[in-house]
Amino acid sequence: MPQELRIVLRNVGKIDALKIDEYLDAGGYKPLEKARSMPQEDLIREIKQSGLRGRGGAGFNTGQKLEFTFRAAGDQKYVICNADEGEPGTYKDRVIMQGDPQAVIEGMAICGYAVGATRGYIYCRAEYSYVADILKAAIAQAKEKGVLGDFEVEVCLGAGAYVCGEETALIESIEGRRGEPRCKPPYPPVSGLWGKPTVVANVETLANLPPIVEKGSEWFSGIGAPAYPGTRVLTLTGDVVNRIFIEAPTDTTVREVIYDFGGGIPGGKKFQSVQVGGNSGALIPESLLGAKIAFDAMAAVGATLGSGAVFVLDETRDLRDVVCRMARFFEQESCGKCTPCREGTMRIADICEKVSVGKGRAADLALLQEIGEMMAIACFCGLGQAAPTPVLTAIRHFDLLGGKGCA
Amino acid sequence: MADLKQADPSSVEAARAGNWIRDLLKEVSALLERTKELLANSVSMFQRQETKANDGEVNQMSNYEGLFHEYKGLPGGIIQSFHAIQNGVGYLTEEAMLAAAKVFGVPAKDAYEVASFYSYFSTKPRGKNIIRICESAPCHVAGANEVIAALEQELGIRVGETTSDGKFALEFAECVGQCQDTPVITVNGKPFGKVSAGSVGEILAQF
Repeated sequence: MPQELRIVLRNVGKIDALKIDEYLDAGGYKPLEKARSMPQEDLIREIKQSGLRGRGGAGFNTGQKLEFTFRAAGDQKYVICNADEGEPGTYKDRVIMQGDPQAVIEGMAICGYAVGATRGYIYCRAEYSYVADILKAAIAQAKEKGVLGDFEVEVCLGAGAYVCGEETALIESIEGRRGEPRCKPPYPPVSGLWGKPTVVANVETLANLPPIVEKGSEWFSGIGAPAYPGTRVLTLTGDVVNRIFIEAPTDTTVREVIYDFGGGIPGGKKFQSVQVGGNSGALIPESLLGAKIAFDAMAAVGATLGSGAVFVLDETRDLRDVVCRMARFFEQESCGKCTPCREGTMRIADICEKVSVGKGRAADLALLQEIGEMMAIACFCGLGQAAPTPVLTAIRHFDLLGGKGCA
Repeated sequence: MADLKQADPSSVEAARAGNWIRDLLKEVSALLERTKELLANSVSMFQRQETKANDGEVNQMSNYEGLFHEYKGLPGGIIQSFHAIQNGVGYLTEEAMLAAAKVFGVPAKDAYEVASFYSYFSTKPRGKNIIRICESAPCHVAGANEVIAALEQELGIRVGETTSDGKFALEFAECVGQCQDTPVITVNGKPFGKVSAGSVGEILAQF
């Protein structure tokens, strides 16, 4: 029976999020002290060697990102916490921020010291305005205690746009513009907020940094899957008995997540499909449930780890209807900047609608395939590139024209 | 009226036609009066709404400018200031957007571009209490459609509309990150989870 391993969630449920003294009593801000006593290159090397990779979905080596930012020239550098958690089925970052906001702030301060940034921004989605209040209070307490040194943090609210989870669209939003992504390269570590070197990191990634600094890279790299060490915080939704959040090592399998932690499918129904990673994740069949919840392991079976959302569908679900709803999400959230996404998401949604009312034909599936392949190459950012994933994997693994219980 | 029985048939017909036309004209005139009345009512309703909406600090161009100056140096400045305006007035008036463009030093179309991009912003007046229904896949499979139907019935409006008393606006939203309690709605940003057709009434009663 697999067990949770709470590294990111170490304090959640155990301390009062609005009492910094409890965070300090639990050992908080000692890692930052330790980090600040190390030369920056040593700190960055340590984080690199831990193997920590981004927990927002892109999975880039965090230490490497810090190194790029450290080496970039700039009279002012920034650390941005990406708290624009918009991926449907995901609320892990909210749990972390509500339960242990200081862990996120400390993680930002560690990054700040590492790269030489004295200013940080937490870009918090508008849907989490009640979380922003907690963050602001936590920042004020940290400032009062003097634990942040010369590092200053502010909260900046989003305004309801999924695309602002993309790091350059997020930066555009902080700069007071439409959340339209920028051309990469240059990447934010070289040219980010107001053109300055910027680290953009996910909430969960940042919350991992204090324990890594405290316990060392060897400790962390020994947990879970070697190529993607540590844990993931997962949120279970859909047709699963336990609609909960858990934190498990990255060598846990999807099957274990659904059946051991999730309690299996309610009502004695059979499993049909699971979508891991949020709305842009792949819909995978039972045969692939042995995959581990690690970035490369999931990619190897054509699936996505992404945001860690685990959305389960039982045999009674009409995949045509669910896929259509997922397609409409992308049509809604496309920023409109690039033609392949703006038009592609609309066409995919329209064809999926046709399929969902039973009027789909094989030619429609072929067209969806063509549009999807085009978008993966031509779209300007990850939103458009990933948007076709649900429908394309539904076509690959299931009989999408078939209808209810079409596994 | 002259004794028609004594007049010749053609002039009786003419007189009847004349009376019919006169009655018809009276009816048309009454209808036109009624239409004028209705138009006057809706104009003054709109004016009342604008005035009601503009109650408080932000009711003039100069007050908008004052508010925008407060946000000018802040990150996401214009976006944060739009949030502040909406919290007060309920939507982004044309006046507000033009004042924002002036203070933030951007073309008017940029202010409008920002206002029209983000789903939280509205450039049209809408109900005082904003109800958002999550329609993302996890809420969808948990029964969001039933909640939508119940809300539409309870409020007497379709999604995208505002109730006639201006109290509630109904909008779709994508995932609000409360997926442990699907299906979810928010009212003025506050989430309500595990909503059912039966619980919609008691949620609305709180506002």
